[in-house]
Amino acid sequence: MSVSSVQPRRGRTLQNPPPVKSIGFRVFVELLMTIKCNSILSRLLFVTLAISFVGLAGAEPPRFGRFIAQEPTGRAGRAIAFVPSSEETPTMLRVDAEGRLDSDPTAPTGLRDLEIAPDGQVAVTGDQGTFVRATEGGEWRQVGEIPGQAVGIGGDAQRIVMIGSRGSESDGTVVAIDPSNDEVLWSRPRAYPGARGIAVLPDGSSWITDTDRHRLVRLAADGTEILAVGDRGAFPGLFNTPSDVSFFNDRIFVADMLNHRISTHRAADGAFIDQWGMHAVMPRQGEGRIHYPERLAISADGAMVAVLEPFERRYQLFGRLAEGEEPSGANLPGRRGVESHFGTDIDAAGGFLAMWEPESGAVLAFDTRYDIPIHVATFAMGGPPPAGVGRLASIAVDGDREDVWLLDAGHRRISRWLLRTERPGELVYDPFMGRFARGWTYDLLARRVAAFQNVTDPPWIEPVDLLIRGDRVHVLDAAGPSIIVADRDLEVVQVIDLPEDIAPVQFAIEEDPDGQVVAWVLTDPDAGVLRRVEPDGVVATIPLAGTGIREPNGISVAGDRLVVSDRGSDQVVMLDGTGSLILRTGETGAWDGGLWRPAGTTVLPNGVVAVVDQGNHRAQGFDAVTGDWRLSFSLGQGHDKPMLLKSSYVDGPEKTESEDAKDVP
Amino acid sequence: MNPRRIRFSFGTSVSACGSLCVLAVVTTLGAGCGEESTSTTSGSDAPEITWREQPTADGRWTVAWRPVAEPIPALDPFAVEVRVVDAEGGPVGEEVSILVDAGMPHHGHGMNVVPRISRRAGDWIAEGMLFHMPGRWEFMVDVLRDGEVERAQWTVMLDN
Repeated sequence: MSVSSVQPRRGRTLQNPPPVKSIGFRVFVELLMTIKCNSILSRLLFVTLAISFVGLAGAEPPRFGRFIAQEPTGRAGRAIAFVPSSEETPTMLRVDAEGRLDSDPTAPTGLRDLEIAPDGQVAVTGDQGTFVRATEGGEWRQVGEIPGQAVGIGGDAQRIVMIGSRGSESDGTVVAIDPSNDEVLWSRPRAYPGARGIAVLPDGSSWITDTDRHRLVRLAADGTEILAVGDRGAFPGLFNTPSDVSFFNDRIFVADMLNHRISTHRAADGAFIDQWGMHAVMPRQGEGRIHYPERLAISADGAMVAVLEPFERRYQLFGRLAEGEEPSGANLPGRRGVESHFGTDIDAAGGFLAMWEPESGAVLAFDTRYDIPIHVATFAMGGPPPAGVGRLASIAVDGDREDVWLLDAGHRRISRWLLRTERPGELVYDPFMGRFARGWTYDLLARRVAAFQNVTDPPWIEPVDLLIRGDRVHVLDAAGPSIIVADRDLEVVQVIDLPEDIAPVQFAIEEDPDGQVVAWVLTDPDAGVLRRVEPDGVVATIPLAGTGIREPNGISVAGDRLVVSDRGSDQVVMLDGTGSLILRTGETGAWDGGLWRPAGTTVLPNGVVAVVDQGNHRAQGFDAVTGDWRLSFSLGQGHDKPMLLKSSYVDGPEKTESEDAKDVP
Repeated sequence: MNPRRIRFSFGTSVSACGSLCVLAVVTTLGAGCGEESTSTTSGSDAPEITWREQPTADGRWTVAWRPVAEPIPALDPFAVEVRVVDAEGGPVGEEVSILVDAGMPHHGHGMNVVPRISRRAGDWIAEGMLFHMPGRWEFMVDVLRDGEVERAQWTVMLDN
């Protein structure tokens, strides 16, 4: 189906502003109608003119959003592309959760993105650099060395444009390469930190999703920034963490991750055209509902769009809408249970627990003096620095001082907020409780690291986790990698450089009875291991092969146990100090005790292990000894008696909560 | 529209304040503000305008502010003067800058405008402030220097 053959849409709403070419069309038709045309010849002439006009002006762009199919990807896929084919059934090429290109064992590993050019050339990028494979297949050829996050290939004079990998020293670096001779055409070092997606246009220019600044950026063929479009928000045309962009014909498609939708824009200037997608309300909904879209791809004929949702472990295929047809999944179903969006981290200390809400950038404080944590404050908000929140990577509670520390990867800042209730002792929701107190840029911390280490050039740091213990702030830096210890003024007092092959995401601190640090224990999901780092810098690897853990993420210390959340198996796993398995609890599901991509963990004052059940939009608590489910809680809701029963979700006899905990002899 | 009267109350403060003003008449307003000082300047004809003074969260700076004209109006733009001294009461250098903002946390919004901040001699003036509805406002001054920022915050009640 060609673009011009699609009928214009009849009705429009506020959410779908008039497409860019429609007004001129209306005026033209009205002018024609003012001319008297009595003869058949005149009528034919007018019809011909009208058709010509539509063809010249370009009919209203086709709208997308008809759900076609969805396919599970198994765990969280990383990238997807259509293989050019004349077959009606699309053939997809995918990068899996481990960074492997499916169906091609010869491809480089550690991949993060791929793109297929119209002529069939395949470009991939990842931890080992950027590679290209010829149209007819054959061996992979390396064309770039820096670790890559996103890659695009295209242009009349074929070129590859890639973005450096997040968390690496090349984060946000954009490089254009001529694949015919491997020549670097231009480079923009660290120009767009956190950027995740890129599309190359026929003229050699490119669009980038400047993810952390919630906008699209267009670069000219020589790499010069010529346009920036959008800002943070939910209204049509705005973005919340745009993660990928694809190009077809005269438009670009954007995976607007935290708005849970795909928006389409005019390729020339980024003008908003249309959008589709609605956030899933029930866990695991699909069938047109979109949840955290991260990658997308467009078929060679532009008739089909694939939306990759790693969080849901699937991709969905969408086609064009007929006239008057609304996108699939645009109605609101009922909801049940506790549901809120939470980020990947959680921390509890003193009488407070804190999480955050990624879409709004707000921080959520809970009172933990009761069996079920009770939401008592929401503070901070997405916005510009110093007090506005960008993209949080970690949150930490200072229980002694009732402070909350935020690690803001989007704005590259660390901030400290006060939790000061105006009605001490009362259990009340207090909107004034959270107050911004102080902040530091990553660059300042890096300079202090350099001064501490007596080196001239500050290192590039990419903090991914932060913990408070006593008077010390512990920062886990994935770029070094390193562990940085500072005082509460963020003056550096210790730096432990880690081996470069470690890619940590979260850490926990083992302490002796006097509160002295015995070791930091890091989760390294890419390697599938834990790392124990002693204060003298000795690093030991804790293998997890016998534990069933596939993707360790959150970690905390509960007594003499390590608690690890496994986003690969949807379980919470408890290990002894040597890494030996004690028990696993949880299973894939949305009921009480079921989990979906669990993330950060912490320990509540009553000893219950709390875990962010991110995919089910809630947190849950498990007994630290038996692993039994203890509670589920969210904003304004919580229960410690089973309410969401497995039998309500799946057929067959209901399992008791204790059966969900798998004790290992 | 007649300008509405403004009254001040104070939340937490963390340490004793130094005096900033030449003519200081320390007045305590509201409950729980024993560690916070206010002062007024007086001229022969002009009405007295009170300075509100408070240390920043970690006490590295002391910030004072006052509206250029009182009372602060509801729904009309106004301007404030801001003074900052270091922890010892000394003047701050050119490397120090400030941000001025206000919000209503219980309503989940801030001001609808961004004030224009300019430095005049040792002080700053923030013009184009706007409290677009009556009620409780949190008035905030951020002091920035070399990648570091620290906030002082006041509660302002704008009556109906």
